[in-house]
Amino acid sequence: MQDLEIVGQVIAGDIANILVREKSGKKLELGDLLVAEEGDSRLLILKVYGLVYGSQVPQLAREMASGLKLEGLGAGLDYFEPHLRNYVIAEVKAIAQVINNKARIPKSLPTFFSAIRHIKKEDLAFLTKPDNPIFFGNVRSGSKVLDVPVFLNGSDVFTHHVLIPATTGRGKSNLVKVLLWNALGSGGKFGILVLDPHDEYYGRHGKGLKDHPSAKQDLVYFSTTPVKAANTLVINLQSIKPWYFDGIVRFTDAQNDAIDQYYNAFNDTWIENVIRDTPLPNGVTIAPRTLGVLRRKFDSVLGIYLDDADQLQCRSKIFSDNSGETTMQDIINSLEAGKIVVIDTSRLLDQAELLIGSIIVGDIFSRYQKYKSDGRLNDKPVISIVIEEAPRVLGTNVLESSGDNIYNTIAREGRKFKVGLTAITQLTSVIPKTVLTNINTKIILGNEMSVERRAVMDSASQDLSDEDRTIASLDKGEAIISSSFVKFAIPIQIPLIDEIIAEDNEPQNSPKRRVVG
Amino acid sequence: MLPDLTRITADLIRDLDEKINELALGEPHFSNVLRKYPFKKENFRPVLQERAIEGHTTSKLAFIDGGNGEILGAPNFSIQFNRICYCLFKGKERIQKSKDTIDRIEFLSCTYSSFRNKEIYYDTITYPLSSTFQNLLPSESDLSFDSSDRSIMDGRERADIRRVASIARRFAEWSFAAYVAQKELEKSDAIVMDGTLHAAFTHESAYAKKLYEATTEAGITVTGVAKTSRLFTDTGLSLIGAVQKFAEDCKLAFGSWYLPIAEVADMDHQAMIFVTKLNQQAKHVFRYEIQRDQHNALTLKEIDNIFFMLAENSRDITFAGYPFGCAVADSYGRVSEHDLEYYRALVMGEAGKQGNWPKFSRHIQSVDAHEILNSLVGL
Ligand SMILES: Nc1ncnc2c1ncn2[C@@H]1O[C@H](COP(=O)(O)OP(=O)(O)O)[C@@H](O)[C@H]1O
Ligand SMILES: [Mg+2]
Repeated sequence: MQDLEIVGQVIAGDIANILVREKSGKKLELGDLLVAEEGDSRLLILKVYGLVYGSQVPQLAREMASGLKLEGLGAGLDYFEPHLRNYVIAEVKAIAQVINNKARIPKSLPTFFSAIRHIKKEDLAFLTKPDNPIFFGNVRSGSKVLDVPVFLNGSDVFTHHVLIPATTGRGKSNLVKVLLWNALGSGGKFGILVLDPHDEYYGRHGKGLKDHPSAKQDLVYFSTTPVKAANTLVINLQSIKPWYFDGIVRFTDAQNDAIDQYYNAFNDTWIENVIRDTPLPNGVTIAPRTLGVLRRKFDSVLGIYLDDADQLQCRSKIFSDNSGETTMQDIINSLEAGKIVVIDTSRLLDQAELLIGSIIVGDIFSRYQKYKSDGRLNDKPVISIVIEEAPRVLGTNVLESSGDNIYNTIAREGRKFKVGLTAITQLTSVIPKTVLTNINTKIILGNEMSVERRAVMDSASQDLSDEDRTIASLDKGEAIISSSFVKFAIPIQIPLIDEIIAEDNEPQNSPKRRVVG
Repeated sequence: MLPDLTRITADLIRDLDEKINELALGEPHFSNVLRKYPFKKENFRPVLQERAIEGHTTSKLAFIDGGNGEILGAPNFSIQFNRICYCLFKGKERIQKSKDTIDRIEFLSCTYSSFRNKEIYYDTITYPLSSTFQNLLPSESDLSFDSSDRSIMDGRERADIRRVASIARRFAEWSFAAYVAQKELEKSDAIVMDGTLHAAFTHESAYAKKLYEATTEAGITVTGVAKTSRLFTDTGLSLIGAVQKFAEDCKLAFGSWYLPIAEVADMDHQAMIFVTKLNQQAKHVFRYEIQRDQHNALTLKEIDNIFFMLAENSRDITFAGYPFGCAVADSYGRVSEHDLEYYRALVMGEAGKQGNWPKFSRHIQSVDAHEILNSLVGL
């Protein structure tokens, strides 16, 4: 190692807290990745968790010296050899041991007094591009970005669920855009459903997924107010099965009973018949009050009502009794063809959005279950469902009061059927542990709430107990990937989607780093 | 009844205040000096700034210090670890040593008592940890002392063996200083020894003399800083305290100064003794000595220059007025309990291997009892 490169030296500590004296002027940062070379093709990768002052000068003497300076009595006096006597000690921990280009969980300390340097691209050569690669960002050391792209196997990652926790404004949406952008270039390996309550992914008003070179073939956009080349989001009421409401809209036993009666009697037209107050055959009667409440619920959730001319109307124009018969088919088929389906739910009420998700997810899930029993699942692309504010369907209180829903079911057993969730949330603490541990990849962005950091760290695939301060200090776009598919929690810098779009659309610059090789 | 501690301590302090009468500072008290300088305001010389010293040269100061500690000991033997170090400064800047200069000498020594010619003798054998400084260690014949030798005695008591065991280190400091002077210093540079220039032990002045001769020839000055001083005034005050008081009373116009105290010209002590305050902010003043002949050959400007260099080196904010080089050399030379543990394990292991541990330990026990007592009372 050249002297120039050395930033510190191991001086003490234990396996959980190695102390490194900083070489003067090297300004180590929280989160910096450092390397202790351990001989030929062996090295330890260390990460900075804390920084403290060290001094050879006793505290009292330092206080006195500062007093002299502050009170104007220190003229002509100075610290002799200040860089030798006053310094910074970095608290670091080994996060990976690399032997012959293979990363392992470290089980030993670096050699006592090892010289320490910053990490280099070559040290991370073991981070190779897997099959079905999805680009997440570049390796980041503190706030320095390395020229080392991080790809994970999208099939593994998406089927085993992804959690993106962060407070507002830390870059969750941007990250999803980056992931989707790269999935778009994958040639049909990933069918991703995006429920987009902010209509921010397609790029209706600016740049967005629509600007991807493969958008024409692989991106499908549904909106209640479609733009050019987009589909109108109209869902025929007949696509809605009673169980799609599970866990999303709460019905009383009497209401459920009435729903069952109508579904048995009228099948797919059950909703229409409830609204029209069609009498049930065989003389079965339902209390008019129950039906009245049901109608009001359909009105509030679906926006459906009967107008003066006895025509069914939908306030949001999303549900219809006479159009949209193929919408569900189109969506499901697109997903199955490995396309990305963005559904603009910005004009929908919460429950309507979740219900639509529930309809689509329920349908695709039962299809995939069938493929599995037919032995055809292997040929099908992986499905992921991107859902904002995930606690709406995965929150402890929701699950307790409304019971299981399709999202929860997928979290539990989706992986067997190649269907996974990509859950975005500001609050992790309100999601049950059992669900969190099923989510194998967490892309942790900045979070200033310690309760939330704790919940994320406690359910991570790596021991992140020392990352608390680091996570608190993550800037926009800075993240840590903790996943059962990586050897250690990898700090990354997620690029800004605008830059990727600009780069991939430069004619001479064919999409380089992110396109499947 | 409980003792009335408030009253007792009040009495004590009142009495002490009465006895320490600062009204009569007196004069430096020496039993045997060539010349004494009375306390006079005119005798204070300011430590001049660089630009005020005509023909000023920025010279180097080499600070020498050492330490020793007992690895194993009994009333009749003492095994010691010794270390002597140096550092070089030019003002506040540390100067790198030349590549081929040894920066420290370390040796083990074994001092033991024996009986010959009806007398108890203390002899010391030295064991350099590297052959490169073999010839910097004192010769063993110089380390043989008759236990009734006045220079090693503590009053009328036979000397404690540990005191004798530290003599080898003291001698080696002189030799090492000569080595450093020869390797690293040039004309008008100075050596700063830790302590006075008093070569108190028998045979010691020969080592001091060698240093004086070598340095005089090369135009280098030998000096010493004493952190503590046992000097008194003839009214019974501590000399250092008296000078400090006198300086305050004089309301000097300058913040840093030096004051000549006495010129000593003994067989074993050839020195011009000063008391100096090296920085305006200093809390302490120090006794500082310059080798007598060398001092007398210097011009006033050259003496000013030495104090200037020393003051420049005493501007560290954590110990204003104390030469930083002294602190550095002290920390280098200091022998830690950690060092001792290491050698103790080696030495005891070897004694076990050679099967003579039981014999040594019988003697050690007599000292050990003290340590056991200490540990019982939690010291
Ligand atoms: N990777 C990034 N690099 C730089 N800036 C980013 C990055 N991600 C997000 N930002 C900035 O932060 C703002 C908020 O990002 P956004 O993705 O909307 O956050 P969130 O969805 O978490 O609220 C963006 O407008 C953008 O300016
Ligand atoms: Mg967002």
